Amino acid sequence: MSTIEQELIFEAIRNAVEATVLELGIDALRSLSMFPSSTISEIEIPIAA
Amino acid sequence: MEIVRLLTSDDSWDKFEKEWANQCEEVGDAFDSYGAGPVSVTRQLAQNGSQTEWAIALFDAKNNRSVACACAILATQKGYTGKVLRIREVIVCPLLDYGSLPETEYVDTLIGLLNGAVKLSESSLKAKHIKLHLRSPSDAIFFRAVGKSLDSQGVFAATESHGAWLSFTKQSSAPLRAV
Repeated sequence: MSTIEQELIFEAIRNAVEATVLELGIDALRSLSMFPSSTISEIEIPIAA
Repeated sequence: MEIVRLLTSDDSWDKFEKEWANQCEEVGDAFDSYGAGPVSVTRQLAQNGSQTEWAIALFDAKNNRSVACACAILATQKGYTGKVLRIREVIVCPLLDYGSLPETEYVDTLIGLLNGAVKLSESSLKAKHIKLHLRSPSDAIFFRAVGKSLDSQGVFAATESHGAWLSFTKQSSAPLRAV
């Protein structure tokens, strides 16, 4: 993959994340499992898939 | 931001652990219990030194801070042509988790993580597919929306959701169009 192709992917990822935050709100991001304190009570999805 | 490998055989894991222990102290938490499950699994990968199973951190050089850690596992998988890079057990740093950093850093961290996975799949852990483990219902809702948006931009050959995983398949030879 060329540097230009990588840059296009990086830009697309930024666009996608920012659009999702705009659509769902910053709290939706804050409730992801990567934030340990916000997901303690959540039921985790089984890993097998 | 860049992905760095964490190992106990050099001082990278120790430095990381001390940094997050200090952050925990700053926010009034204990590192021993902070993200205990994911951190424990990540520590095991830092200890085993495998060529294909890495403990990684997302390092913010500008602020001299590790903002997230995770497991990056290179594997072959039935149904996939080419290697698969799985990103699992992602945990953000205590300062982010406790809201001690600006909200913009939440967004930057997630972008840095996804971009870092792409870079890793093009360098040390070469893979055609990148899979992100969705550990909770909130993850599934959020990342499927990210995947849908990415799909509409056409930079990946495919963006699909399978059970608790979101997968990105990179283009092989077709040129990418501008977004």
